Amino acid sequence: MRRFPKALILSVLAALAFLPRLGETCGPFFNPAVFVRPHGPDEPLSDFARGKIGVVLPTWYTAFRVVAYRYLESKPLSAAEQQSLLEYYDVDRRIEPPEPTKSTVKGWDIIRSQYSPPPPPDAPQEFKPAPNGFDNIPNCLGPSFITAAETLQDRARRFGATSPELQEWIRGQDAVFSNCSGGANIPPELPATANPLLRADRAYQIAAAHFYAGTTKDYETALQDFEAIAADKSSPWHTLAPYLVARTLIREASATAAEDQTHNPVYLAKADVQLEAILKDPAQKSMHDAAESLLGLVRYYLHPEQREAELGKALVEGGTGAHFAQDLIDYTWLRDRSPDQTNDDLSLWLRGGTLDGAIEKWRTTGSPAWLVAALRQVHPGDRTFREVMDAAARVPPTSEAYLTVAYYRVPLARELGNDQLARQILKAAMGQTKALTPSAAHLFQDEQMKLAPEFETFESHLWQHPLGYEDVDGGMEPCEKPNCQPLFSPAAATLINTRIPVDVFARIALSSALPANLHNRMAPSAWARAALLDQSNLAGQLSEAAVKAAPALQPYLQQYAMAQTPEERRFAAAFAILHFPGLRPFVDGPLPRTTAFQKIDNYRDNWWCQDGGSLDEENGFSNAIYYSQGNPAPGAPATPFPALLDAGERQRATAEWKRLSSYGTAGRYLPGTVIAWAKKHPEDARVPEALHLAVRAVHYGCGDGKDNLLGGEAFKILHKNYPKSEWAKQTPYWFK
Amino acid sequence: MLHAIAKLDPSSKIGLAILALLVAATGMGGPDGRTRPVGIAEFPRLTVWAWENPEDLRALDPQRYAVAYLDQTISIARQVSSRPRLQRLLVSPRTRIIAVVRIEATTSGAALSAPGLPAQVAGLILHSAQKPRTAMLQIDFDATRSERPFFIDLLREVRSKLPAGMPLSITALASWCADDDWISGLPVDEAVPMFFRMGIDRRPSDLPGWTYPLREPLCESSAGVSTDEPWLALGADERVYIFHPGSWTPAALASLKAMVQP
Repeated sequence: MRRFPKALILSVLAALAFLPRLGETCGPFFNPAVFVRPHGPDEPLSDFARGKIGVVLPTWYTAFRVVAYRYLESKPLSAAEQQSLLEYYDVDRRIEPPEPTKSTVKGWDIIRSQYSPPPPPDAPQEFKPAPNGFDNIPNCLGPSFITAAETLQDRARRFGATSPELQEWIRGQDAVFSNCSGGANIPPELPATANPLLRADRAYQIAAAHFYAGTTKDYETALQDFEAIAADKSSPWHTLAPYLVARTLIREASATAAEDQTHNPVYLAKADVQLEAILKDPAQKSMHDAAESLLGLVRYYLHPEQREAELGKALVEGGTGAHFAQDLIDYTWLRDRSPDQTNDDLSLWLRGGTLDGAIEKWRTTGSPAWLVAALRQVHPGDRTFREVMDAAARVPPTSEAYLTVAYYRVPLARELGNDQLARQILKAAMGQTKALTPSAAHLFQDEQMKLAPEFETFESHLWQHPLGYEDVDGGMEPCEKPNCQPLFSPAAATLINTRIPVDVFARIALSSALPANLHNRMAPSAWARAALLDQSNLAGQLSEAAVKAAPALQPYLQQYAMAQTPEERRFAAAFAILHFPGLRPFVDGPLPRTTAFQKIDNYRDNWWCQDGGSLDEENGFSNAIYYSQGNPAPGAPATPFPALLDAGERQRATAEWKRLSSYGTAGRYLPGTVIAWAKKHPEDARVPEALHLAVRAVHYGCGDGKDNLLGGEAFKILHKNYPKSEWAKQTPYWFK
Repeated sequence: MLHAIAKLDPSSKIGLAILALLVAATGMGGPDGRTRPVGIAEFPRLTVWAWENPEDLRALDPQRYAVAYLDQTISIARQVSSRPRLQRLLVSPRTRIIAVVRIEATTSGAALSAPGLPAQVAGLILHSAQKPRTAMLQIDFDATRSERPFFIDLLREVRSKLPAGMPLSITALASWCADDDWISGLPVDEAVPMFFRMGIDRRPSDLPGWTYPLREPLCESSAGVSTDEPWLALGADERVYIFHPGSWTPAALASLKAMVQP
């Protein structure tokens, strides 16, 4: 007798070929279907930016909730704010700021190469290595290359493309950019006899060269130079120079920061003063936009709490225009540092606050945003329940808050026992076709399923076409027809598996309305559920459909039908199930088993895991490892019973789920049943095969680590009682 | 080793010679200040990953910890570009340094088969290997199935041009080490399976000391873990790379020291 350690067995198991769920993955990435986007709005983001916010969920990323707040507050984003949002964000919140640096460097290279003298061999770099040899400083930013290219073309027009004046200008500019990746290459001053414009340009180039060279001494020189340029009204650079004074101060703040600081606050404070002065000077209006952005950066570092409050206010009040997305990024980053500390309205709303606080805010502001916050927390027993529900009922369909309010009203109406009202709310919400987003429609459909008064309506809401499949980066691959098949939503699968009696389960499985892919899975499952619950009559009624879906089941279902006693039926059911690793007494949710019904799944998505009733929608591989680590089994179902069940059906559903759950893993239940039968009925010709299959089920099944000895016991009985059988030969090992 | 160096008399020729040999052998730096490549076995067992955050890791004991820092991120889209590290990193002068290069490909697998692309990307990667303190190079690329041929070519290219004796490491999705054998035979010294942020790849355990079915020998000598997730069972000789979400604050370093107490 040989026993293999589990780790080795797992290794061998994992070595088996893997069939990817989606073509582009490298596995094993299991890509569950997505029915509702959990972290943000649906695509296209432009619809959301325009106010199609659907149902706003607390699980959304902060940035999207901020935008939603604006619409809930009836403060729509301006066209510039919408544009700004779209430039930086996508629905998966992958912040992608417009980054022109590369193309602008290239743009400079192209224009520079058209003039003599020939350009230096190495193109300018935007980053400069820091003295410590590890990190880098973004030194020459995109706009510098744009400005240089534009100035070069202008000076070429003024002085001639091959003129000595232009060549000198180019030499000066090459010297400036040679400092981008390190060094201190300062172009010389031009003689007093040179053209005044070129002298002004050279003064600017000298200041810029010091700025990029970036030693403390260089910064001091650059400061003086830019201040001198600012004072020289004849220089074309005098309007830009005050802004560059501020930028130099910020660079200096960074360069002189103590080791525990990112910036030296002394220089940041000076930059703050400088930028404020620019903003107050009407003569520098053309620089106000840039100065405002830079001031935001300064205050981000200098006064983070104050800046967070400022941003929170600005984002809510609007008017930030093209700065909107940058402000949103700054706000979310600042807020993430201490999300519980600031108490401006937006921050409070994002946190959810307390019910009383939300109601108070709603009473004083009348804002639907706070009504939503109250709805999320109120319950029928609360003294303010009626007030909140009445207010919610008055939100008109034209309000951007309408769908979100409806979504929270429905369970409250249900909790109140007023299913009729809940259905009315749902019907009205689903009628808002222009405002309805795909995720919102799926959320409402789940509620319709729970509230359906009769079977036909109930079953029609059980399945949905996924919006897509989770990808490895947290985004979503779209589910595109014709390959996009309907699946049971997570809510539907949980409800079917835990909250309905087996006869209703069977009715769904046999329904002609059920899509074929789901019927083919559910019919055998319904048979297994009935058989495991020893409801032989029902199992008999399901046999034909189960065999039609999986013809290989036929002989085993026949044996079950011929069984004479509950004990024999139990064995016959286990014997049947053992042959088919895809046979389980429940339906799959967003991550259905993909391996053939009769084949072992390489990632242990075989039979069932912790409970035969299945609260868990994870696939077998995940569960196999999860439970083998000793993690606890899931608790009792929290989802409510569907409205169509009467009291008796609810009782039966509860009792059946409890019974199925008590069986534990397939790796325990199936071998245990076989061993018990084998001990009492050693003469049964099926026993050797059943023992062989029991060893296999322990090996490949989704166990909790406590079932392995059952495999050993089955192995011993097989080899002791049936040593010469074909099945003993096929079972040379058991697996510890 | 350090104790032995302290006892030597640097004024004697023999002492100097031995000192030079010892310094060279420990890879801590030669006459040109450049770190000498050393075998992977000579690195400390523990390595701290320093990702794109400001990091002050001078408090780490160089005898116990190496530092693997993100040096650059190479993006392969319509064109290839490199974004260097922008966040400050402070380390002890004696700390062994592993330069990490992350690759992000947003183009299709087919576009990655463009001739010359592996050589071009390898050229960028080698900048990290050529930095004076780099003692090992690590490449972090979550290659999808269609990107694997490119990755294999790239590793061959990098390996052929890497300074002699410099170890080459890659990070590996845990599944690469457990199922298909595509990383078997790659020209690398180690593949570090990432046992954190595994998402639905494998449901994380709530309990430390969990296990994972490894098969690929390249993955057996090391493991990547995170301070905010339970660690799997680690072998006594296993090299451990430790990730921390956000910067390694003094508190995080103190917690780390408690976590790795022998």
